[in-house]
Amino acid sequence: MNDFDVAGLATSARIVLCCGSGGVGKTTTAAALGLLAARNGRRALVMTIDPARRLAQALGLTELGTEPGRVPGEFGTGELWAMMLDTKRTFDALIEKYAADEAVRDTIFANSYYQHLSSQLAGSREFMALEKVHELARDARFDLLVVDTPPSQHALDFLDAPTRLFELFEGSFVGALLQPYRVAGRIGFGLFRRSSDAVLRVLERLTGFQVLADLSDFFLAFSGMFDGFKARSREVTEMLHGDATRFLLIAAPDPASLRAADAFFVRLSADRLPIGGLIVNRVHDAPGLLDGASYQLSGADLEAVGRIPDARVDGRLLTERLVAAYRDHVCAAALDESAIRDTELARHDIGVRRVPHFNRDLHSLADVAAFADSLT
Amino acid sequence: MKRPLAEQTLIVVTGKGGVGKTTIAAAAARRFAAMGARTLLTTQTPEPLEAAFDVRLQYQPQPIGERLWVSSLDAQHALKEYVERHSIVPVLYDAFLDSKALKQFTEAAPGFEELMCLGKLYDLVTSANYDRVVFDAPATGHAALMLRVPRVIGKAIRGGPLHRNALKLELMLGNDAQTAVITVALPEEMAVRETIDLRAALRREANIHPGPVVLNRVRPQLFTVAEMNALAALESTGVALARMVSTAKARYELSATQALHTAELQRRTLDPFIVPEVIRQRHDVPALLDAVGAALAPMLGERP
Ligand SMILES: Nc1ncnc2c1ncn2[C@@H]1O[C@H](COP(=O)(O)OP(=O)(O)OP(=O)(O)O)[C@@H](O)[C@H]1O
Ligand SMILES: [Mg+2]
Repeated sequence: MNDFDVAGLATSARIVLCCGSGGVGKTTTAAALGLLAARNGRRALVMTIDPARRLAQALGLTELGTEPGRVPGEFGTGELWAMMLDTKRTFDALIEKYAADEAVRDTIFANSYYQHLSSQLAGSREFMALEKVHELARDARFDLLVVDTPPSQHALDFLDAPTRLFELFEGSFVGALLQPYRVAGRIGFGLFRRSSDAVLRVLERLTGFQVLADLSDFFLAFSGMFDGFKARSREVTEMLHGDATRFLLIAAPDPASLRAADAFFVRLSADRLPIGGLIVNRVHDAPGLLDGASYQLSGADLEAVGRIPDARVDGRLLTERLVAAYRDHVCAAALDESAIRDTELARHDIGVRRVPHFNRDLHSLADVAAFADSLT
Repeated sequence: MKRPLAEQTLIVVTGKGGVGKTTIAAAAARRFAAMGARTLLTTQTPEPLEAAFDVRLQYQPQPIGERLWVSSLDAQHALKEYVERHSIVPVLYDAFLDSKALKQFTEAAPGFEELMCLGKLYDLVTSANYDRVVFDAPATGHAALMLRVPRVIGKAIRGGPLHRNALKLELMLGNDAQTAVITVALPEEMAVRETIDLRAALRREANIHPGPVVLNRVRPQLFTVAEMNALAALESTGVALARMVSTAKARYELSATQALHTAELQRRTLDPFIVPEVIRQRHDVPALLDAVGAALAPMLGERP
């Protein structure tokens, strides 16, 4: 394990994707990276996926738009921008773009399944995030795009989303769903009722007719756009493999979170996706951990604490608690280190940077700057 | 005012990602079992529990201790069970159940998997095999969706088995004598906010009255202001003392920040049950669960 140059990454990459399990500081890291880039004269856009309050707050904004907005602050010639992803709007925009005509577009927009559930469709949030990255990567206003990936139950959802969606659309279920229409060549629920497909019959019985009719309508309207979607997805894959793209792994120094980072690493390597490095956030760094912690105070020190001229302070009790707090801290630091050392990542040539535990909440641009400084 | 759990049979544990849902759920389940309740611990993310208990989780509950069972709540399995119970054309079952189409349907129809899982929970809760079912639920966003699903589907689908099913589940979740939704938070700004928002959303969108709040990984304050001032005023100390003083300062700040978050929850009448950060046995799962379980005793309704 070696250090890696985070500031260098922020000045050379075009796209950085921050990956990690929930609550490890992905958003703060993304903001810090954007800040580093801006300070180096680049125009950086940080994009986060809902709920984006964290980023807004970290950047000192009251709210974050769904279009890129400038973050106020002095960055020399650089610029810092931020935005959050609106899954539904991105989906709408894609449909605008690929729908064969207005009738198809309107059919989709009016479909109740699309209106209520499409944003919950497996992988659609991740798919839309990638779609937006693709669009913004071509936007001449920005030199760097930092993406805070969606919190997902499974770390790899982000990468698997397009495939999952395509499998769904090309799969036998949707095929069966569309069968009656293909035969009849027109839309009509009556035809659907005569579907000979056994699976659909059982499903209809289980779920009720209207559910399948809505789904069916939706996928039918959608099927014409499918080729456009696929072509787009191939471009996205290319973009992710590009020379100027880096995946940044982010973890907390505990085994669960580092296991998730390991899983990411294995998967990214298998797909030959470019890994920038691992950032371990909130690491306890105990002074004295490396050169031998001493829990023994010298006679002079003991005396100094004992002599504290304040009636509210009991020197002996205070000494005990000083030692206890220090012991805890050294122990936490040692456990953090052993967790980091036990990772799969540690056995590979992946750069690792540790960000200390700040012992407080980070909620201003100045805090993000402090975070960024610890990375340079 | 904080209300401990009463006799609820279903205990749902949720909260922001990584706050300790699985740890709290597992510790509570062990404690229930130890107190004499036949307890099932079930989850949709088996890996951490498999690592903790060194078992392979299955859909069928399996015993892992006295009065303690574990299982995984798998949507596909739950769906199969549901179909077996409700379908009419038995010949087709096998082909249907194993068909890729079915799996794809559940992916294409959001909410359906959640409904199936909740249905399975209902069966477990009403099965007479267990006194308590502890559900290690997904993190906030997904949990909110899941708990809202019965209501949404109950409204969207009029009539039919799915509708009846949804109504039954909505009743179970909305009955706070039967179901307790525990929200776990960390003493950090965003986690506390997420808890507050989640609870509001559950009330508003799912008609659920959330149960206790757990504040996990709290570091209690060790030092007083007077002590910190006195330490800061110490002149020329040795290396060991200097290190201890700087550690004490960091610890003082951390605990002070955490106390603000506890106060914020109290101000909103969400007085949390506190679980301290376990430091030394952090990587020793049984010891961690014992320590967390002991801290949970007041919430679990144990008398001191
Ligand atoms: N009170 C505690 N003291 C020390 N460590 C703890 C405590 N509670 C949880 N942990 C540790 O925190 C990490 C995350 O806990 P856990 O897996 O229970 O969280 P979770 O909310 O279930 O996460 P996820 O959202 O990924 O399911 C684990 O390494 C666990 O051991
Ligand atoms: Mg968990």
